[in-house]
Amino acid sequence: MNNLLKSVPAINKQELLFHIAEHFPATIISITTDSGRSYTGVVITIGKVRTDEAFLVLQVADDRNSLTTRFLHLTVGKIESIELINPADLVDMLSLGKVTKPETYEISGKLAVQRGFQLFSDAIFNAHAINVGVPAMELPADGLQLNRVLKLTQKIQQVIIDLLKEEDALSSWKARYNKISFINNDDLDVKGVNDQIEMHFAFNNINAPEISTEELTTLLMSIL
Amino acid sequence: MGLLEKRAVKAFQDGSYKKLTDEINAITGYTIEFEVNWDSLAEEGSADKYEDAFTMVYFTPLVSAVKEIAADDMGKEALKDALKKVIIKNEGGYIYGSSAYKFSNGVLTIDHQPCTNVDNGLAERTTELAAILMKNL
Repeated sequence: MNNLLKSVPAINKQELLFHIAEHFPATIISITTDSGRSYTGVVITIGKVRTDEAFLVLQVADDRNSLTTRFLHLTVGKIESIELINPADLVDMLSLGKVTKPETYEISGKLAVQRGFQLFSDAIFNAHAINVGVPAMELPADGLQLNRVLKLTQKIQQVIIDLLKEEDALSSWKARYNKISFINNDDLDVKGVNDQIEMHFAFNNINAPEISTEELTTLLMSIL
Repeated sequence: MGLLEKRAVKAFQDGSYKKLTDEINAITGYTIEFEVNWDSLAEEGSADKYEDAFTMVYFTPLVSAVKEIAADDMGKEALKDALKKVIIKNEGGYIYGSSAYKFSNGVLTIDHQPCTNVDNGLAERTTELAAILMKNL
């Protein structure tokens, strides 16, 4: 957790409040204004007025964090500090969703992964009538690493299914590639090599972050 | 082991045991070595239960698990590579599937009391055994 927190980018109060309002509306926050007063509650709305000044409506909570019928309306510029109380996913909040907590892994065997690879190919074929191939990979021996490979395979499968909904992506993939391989590497990368797509990622590192669906989609589009 | 228990064990060895191990080997497509500690299985005073109890405690879950795994060639191959031997015994006093199965170096060890939780534990044993095998294939 601490290592992940070190990697979150700097954000301002307005960005944080927008992210909380959109993705974690139930999070209780305590704000202190520039006049030194503190209020605890949940964000009801945050928006911008014509002067480009952001304002916030907070439903105020009592001492036991139960919501009351009191509401506070103030401009974000008046907020001195924001305290997050028992946040559900601190890393996600502070990174505005760019960094996510690593998955927890159970033990899987090689057979489960091999079946997952076959399902990957079948699911994409069933969705778009395209043969992308069964992923080729040198599988690790460790059960936790195998479970990560399996979970990543399912995520990659969904990214590809979503991407191939676009007709131009589908026709380009069909024309160029019919094989796919997963290669263990520190950094995410996608390469088109002859008729094969090589997907490089930290497949075996159970402490590495999850694959970014946006980044993967962008990289796949770059080779189509 | 008294005479009643000896007779019941012998009847099981000559009848159901052979059929069940043959069935398992037919499903997997290769011969798995079985090692049974009969003395530990022969619970005194329960000779009349051996036939059903041995079958349901030790073999029915194994038949179900290998059937599920060996449903395709990929599973058959993985099973052949990984599972070489099955040891059946009653030494640890275990009565639940969650503690009855161990898998190490190609050897599946089934250590379960022979006449306890026979019916009620069948579903749990089947699930646990399939899970432990899948983790090791």
